[in-house]
Amino acid sequence: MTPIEETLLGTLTPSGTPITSKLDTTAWFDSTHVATERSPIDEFVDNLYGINRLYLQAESRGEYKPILGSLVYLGMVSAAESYFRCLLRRLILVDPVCNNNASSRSLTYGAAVHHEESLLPEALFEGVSMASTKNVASELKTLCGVTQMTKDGGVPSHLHLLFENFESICQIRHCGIHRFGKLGSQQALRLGIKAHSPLLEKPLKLSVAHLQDVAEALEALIRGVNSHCFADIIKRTHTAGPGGRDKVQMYTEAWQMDFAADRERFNLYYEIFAASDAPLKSEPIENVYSAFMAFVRQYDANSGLIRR
Amino acid sequence: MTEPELIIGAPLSTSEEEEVAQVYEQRADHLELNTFAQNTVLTNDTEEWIRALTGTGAKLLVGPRGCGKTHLMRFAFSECQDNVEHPLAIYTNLNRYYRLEPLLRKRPDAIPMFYTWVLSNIFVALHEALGAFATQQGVIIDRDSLLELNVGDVQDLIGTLEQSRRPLNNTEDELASRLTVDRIKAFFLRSADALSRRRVVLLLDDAALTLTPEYLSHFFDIFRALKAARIAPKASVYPGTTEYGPSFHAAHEADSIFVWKAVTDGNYLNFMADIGRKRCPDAADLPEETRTLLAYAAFGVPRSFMSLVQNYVKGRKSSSPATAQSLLNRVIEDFCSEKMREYLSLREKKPQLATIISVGAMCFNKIVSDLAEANQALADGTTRQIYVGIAAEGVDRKPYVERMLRLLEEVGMIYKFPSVSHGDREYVRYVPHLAALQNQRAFTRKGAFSPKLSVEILQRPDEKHAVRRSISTLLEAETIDGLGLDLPNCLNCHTKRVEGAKYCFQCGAKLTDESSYDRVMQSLLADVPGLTDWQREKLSQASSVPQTIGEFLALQDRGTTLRTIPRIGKIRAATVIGAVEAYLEEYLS
Repeated sequence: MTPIEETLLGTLTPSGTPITSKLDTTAWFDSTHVATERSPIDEFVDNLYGINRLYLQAESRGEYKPILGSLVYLGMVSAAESYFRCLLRRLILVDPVCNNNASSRSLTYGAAVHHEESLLPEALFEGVSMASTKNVASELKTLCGVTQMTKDGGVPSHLHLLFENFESICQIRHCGIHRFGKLGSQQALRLGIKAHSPLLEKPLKLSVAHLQDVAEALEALIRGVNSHCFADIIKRTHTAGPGGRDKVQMYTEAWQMDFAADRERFNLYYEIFAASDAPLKSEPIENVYSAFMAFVRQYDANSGLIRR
Repeated sequence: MTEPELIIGAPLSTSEEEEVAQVYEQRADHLELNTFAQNTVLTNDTEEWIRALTGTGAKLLVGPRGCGKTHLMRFAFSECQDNVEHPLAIYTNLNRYYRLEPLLRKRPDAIPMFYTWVLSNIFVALHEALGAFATQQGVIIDRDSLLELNVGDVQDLIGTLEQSRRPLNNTEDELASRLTVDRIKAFFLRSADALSRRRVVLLLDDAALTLTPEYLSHFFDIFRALKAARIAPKASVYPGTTEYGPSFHAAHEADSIFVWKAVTDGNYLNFMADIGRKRCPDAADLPEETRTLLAYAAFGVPRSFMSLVQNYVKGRKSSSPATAQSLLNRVIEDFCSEKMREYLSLREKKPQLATIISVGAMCFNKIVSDLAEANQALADGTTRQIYVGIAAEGVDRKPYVERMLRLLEEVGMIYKFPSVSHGDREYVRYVPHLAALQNQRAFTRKGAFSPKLSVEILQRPDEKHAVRRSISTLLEAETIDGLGLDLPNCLNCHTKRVEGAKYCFQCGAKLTDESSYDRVMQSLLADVPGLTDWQREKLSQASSVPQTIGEFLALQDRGTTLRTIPRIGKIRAATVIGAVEAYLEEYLS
């Protein structure tokens, strides 16, 4: 074998540039970033709308290609996943019940040593994918005790359709991540094999209209889950608080029924859940607080307790 | 809907109003069930329509407002109740759907809530029907155990969805999850068996859901799913509705039964005369020619006929009666303005269609004046000319023009007929509302009006060919170019939105629509139509009375609150409440 033949056999795929150094991944992150006080839903909306601008403007310039669509798609699901992680972390830090539920979970030693305290809960979900209805429902149930969610992936019936769409979106995400968009048999089975079998090994080809549908479905899900969790948890602070009728009392602090006195505590919850940007922003804290007080009064009236 | 007599002519005293209301009941949903048989006109057509309702197979009952769809359904219900050979009939009216419109703008789970609402309404209707049929047959049925769910709870669920529009709590959610199509179907069959009826017909009235197309397609999902060997769903819809959603193909899934009597039918006058005899006895006292002209002016809609007769009779009784001729003209003219007002009011309910609706009015007026002219030229001839043929090339695949014509059809301003070919061109044929043609003196000689001649012209055979027009001869080029949806700019960055877009291309934010329902609730009480100037002034100045309609409706005792205003007593308070209710009923229907 001549040296030329040897080179030929060993270099079937010539490479243009030699790699001279080890990649410095530390330079890839924004180290100056400070965790903001924005709510998880605000962050989600920022991320989603930022992604929307990418493909919508590409389309208005006549430059949209389905390959951009596939990348954008992954970004959208990632924004949704990130919302769930952020929500769970913030709840563990603020709500005694979530905190208590989390305390029996184990954490890697590395995370415990190196993480800042405020970000530590995020490390709890590092091995968990939030791109799945079952995992989201299960975490919301076991960590946050949100009612109508179950460990095996059950969700409140009014959110059923939204989670069903989320599950389809997540299945397709698999194809996007692992198979460059081609539909695999596992995903086809989960999406409904009858309709999807002709599409096996066919690539994703998303139009701008499809992407807007996906964005809308994810936004609807996140907004729906966000409202559901807020109402559920804030009501629980009373029904499982002093004087509440829940079987187990989980909160030691009682609401004072006075906005000035309750503001600080109420705001802890409001901040986690409220959306502050137009066009779909939450009502001001005063209004939401007074609606909560109306709930408290009605609840107490049902138990014969009269409040003024 | 506001009855026209509230607007036209001299005001009646309360006792007079009641008297009139007893004789004429224009809206079938206000009629007592036991008056149906004697009030219902059973011509050959109607018998066939009733058979379609009591027979097998899914059916769509198609006709504009007031043409008797509700009446037919309720008649079919009582027919079934009376005959043990007939199926079990279940009747429900979905006209309160608009109360769920705000959900579409605010809640991502609006659609599941709508499903629950529809199935809850059907369940309550089944419960009622089962009771009524069992009583009639003398059978004792324990409805609560047969139907498993508690009807009171289901009614509360409907109330929650319509009024507070909040997410369901655990108990309600549990109940909602039990209200499935399969379970409802099982209840149907169980009930039919208990009554020894072989089949079930489900009469879903006011299912056009015209202001919330988002719900319409989902409604027809349910409709399709309810269909079974022994279960035949029937829904009443407006003409012109063509989009029933991706999974419902009207031509395959159900037969359409057109229940709008065409003025071109041979037995048109007999049909209307029957209605006159059965539902407004006063029609008999009118001179025959007047009665005939009013029957044509009603354009196949029984409710319009009753209202025209009623207004004519009222005009005759008024303190300064006009001549028969001018009275007839005035009644028809008022009727036309009312009809146009009703059509134009769609702009408030569907702001994004405002331009299309306004242009539709222009197009209609042009059709009417062109046809009026064509008829005047025929006054001494032997034919009448009521058809306009619009060149299909300017209509097909022009979504806004199609939409415009469909909206006119939906409210009953124009009646669509099969297309015809003329040379190498195809024409879509329409007959515009005859009252509008009469109002333009289409069936007279210039300068002289003779009812006799009008009747004679109207009864002549049709011209061989329609008056042929193209959209570009009916409307100015600029107007056609300007046809489009009126969409608000992005609420976030105020960029003009791209049609069909869900997100703003400039800032990426969600493009949202304001809820029309919420807007009407936030509008000022003093602006409600039908209030007097004096009432408006008092209402806008009073600090004790809420300023918006929504807040006013939320009051426990509206009368007492209104009576805090000096010089407003029981009667004036009642008229204010009546005006608000009439306005809302019309707005929300």
